[in-house]
Amino acid sequence: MAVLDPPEAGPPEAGPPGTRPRETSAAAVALLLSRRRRAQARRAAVPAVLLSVLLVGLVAASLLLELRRVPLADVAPAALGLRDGLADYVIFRIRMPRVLAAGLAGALFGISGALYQGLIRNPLATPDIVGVSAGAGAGAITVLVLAPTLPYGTTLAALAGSFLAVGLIHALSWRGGVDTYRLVLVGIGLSAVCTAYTNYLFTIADEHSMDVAMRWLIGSTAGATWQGVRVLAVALAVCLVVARLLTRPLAGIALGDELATGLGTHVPRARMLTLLLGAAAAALATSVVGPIGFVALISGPIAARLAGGDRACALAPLVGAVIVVGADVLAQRAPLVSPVPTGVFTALLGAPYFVHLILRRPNGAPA
Amino acid sequence: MSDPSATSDTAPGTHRLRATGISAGYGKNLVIDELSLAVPASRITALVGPNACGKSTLLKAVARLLPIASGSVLLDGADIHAMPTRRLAQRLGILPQSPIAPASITVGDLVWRGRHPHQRFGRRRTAADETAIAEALLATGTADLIDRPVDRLSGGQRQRVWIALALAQDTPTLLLDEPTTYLDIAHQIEVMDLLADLNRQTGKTIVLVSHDLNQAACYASTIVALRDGRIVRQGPPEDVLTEQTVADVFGMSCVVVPHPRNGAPQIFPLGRRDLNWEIGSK
Repeated sequence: MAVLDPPEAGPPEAGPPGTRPRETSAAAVALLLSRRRRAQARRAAVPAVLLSVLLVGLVAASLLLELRRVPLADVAPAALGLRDGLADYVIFRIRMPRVLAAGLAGALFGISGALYQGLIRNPLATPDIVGVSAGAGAGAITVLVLAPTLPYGTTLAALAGSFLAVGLIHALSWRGGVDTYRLVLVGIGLSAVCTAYTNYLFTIADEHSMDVAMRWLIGSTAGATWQGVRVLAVALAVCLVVARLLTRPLAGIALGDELATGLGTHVPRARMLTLLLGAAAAALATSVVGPIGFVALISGPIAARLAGGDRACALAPLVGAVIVVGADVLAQRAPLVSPVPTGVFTALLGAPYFVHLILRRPNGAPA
Repeated sequence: MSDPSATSDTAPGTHRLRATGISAGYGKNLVIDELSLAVPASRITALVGPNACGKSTLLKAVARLLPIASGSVLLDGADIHAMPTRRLAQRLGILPQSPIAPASITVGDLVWRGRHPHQRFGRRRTAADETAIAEALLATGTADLIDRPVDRLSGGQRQRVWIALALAQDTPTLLLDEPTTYLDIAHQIEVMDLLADLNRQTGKTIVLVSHDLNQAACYASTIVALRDGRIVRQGPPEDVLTEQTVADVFGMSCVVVPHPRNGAPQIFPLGRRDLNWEIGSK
């Protein structure tokens, strides 16, 4: 397949030049195209269905495994709101918000990563790697330490921190296009600054808020509340709608900024919107479940592998949700090590992939 | 500047694209300054000139890929800077010099993106889209490659696929920045033949940047020669490709000979050795 021309000089019409297109009518090719399109859509639906089934299974496992003293027979009545008691408490007050927060945050991480990877045309360029999540974390910890009673304080501060980080990254690493290595370096620098800043906050924090901040910083779904779930649900709904609007502009930008403009995309506007949307998605997820690492990095490429690059943005939220809920089940239930923070298992999955991305030859990046 | 009657073979008012007094560049550095250009409708126009003469900048400026510092660009009488981006993309296509093929994208999916300007949000693709893509694939001889990943194609095939994308966009005017660079000579001719066919069959207005004067002379009806951001001369090939103009534009001596088959002026550059030999042998 790789060899298109015969190895030695063949007849002059061999190879692409001069090969006369077969006498095919446009109508026939159009029919072929629409059939192919439908087949592609069917094929793309398969991973979505499988991932959904997997997600439902993982959610059920998270809710129902190791119920210990909760009688299974009480679960159904509790679900219908008919009975209070242990089943209601364990499953719907403790476990349900946790698993929902895990799934929603995972979806938000997934979409944030896929948006950035699509925009910057590089799998390394996700909010957690380029320092946006670090900015969100610094913002959230500021509020956790200095003003812990502020309503929605961590959420808003995480948003503000991430937007500030995006502004800095844009200013420091965008020179017409983006040099990925500069971007990653800027991200490392920004993350270091944020770490230094949080360390400073810890020196002035009182013991209680320090404890809260530390637990948050490790990144765990254990403390998720229904309020957090509501924030995430609204955020995900908005992100999915705006990301859908950005599908076509991003598909254009994938061809280069110039061709995208030529094809009718307002590139600066689409780029800014994508940067802010991805930052908001990552920041809101982080504000509720803490900085669970690597989910943004691996969701997009897995989605692209499963459904094709065109549909990565659409499938990435589902992939992210499966990863975080799965990691959360493992973090709670894995023999010997559990309970550990959720981020441990996402790191086990994501860190090797990150190293692989760094080590592969630089010009092997998608051209 | 150049003689306005140079394009006299086209009736007045048939200029599809008209730039007046435009200045453009990168940052503060203006590459073209107060330049005016009228592109005849339904013809092939070639922009030629030495490196950094501003021909690519001019192409980008008239396609609104670059902001202009002054002047105006009219497409069919309408100011392109007052036009919504998508509307412009329905009327004017541009194929930049180095577009990017996303990793492992197939030919069919890539060419489909040429339909973006004709899409409305939330609409599925229509029969009109399918037909436009099919015609673009057939015209470029790439219909057999639909399911092939673009990154596995040969250079010539890939260039034809990019042109297919530009054709699927289905604009009356098409600008191409060095469409034959990096191709071997057979593929170059293939691409030029394809553009000539399109121009002849559909009346598409084509503007291309070219480094090859001889090919430009064979295929274009108008040649615009630029140097240092200014038009030195424009008109039919036989008016522009003279020994004097080539010397003015490229700073190079040459001999101009008619093409043995089509009579288009062909340039034979004279190196130092040729100049000495000419003197010595006489």
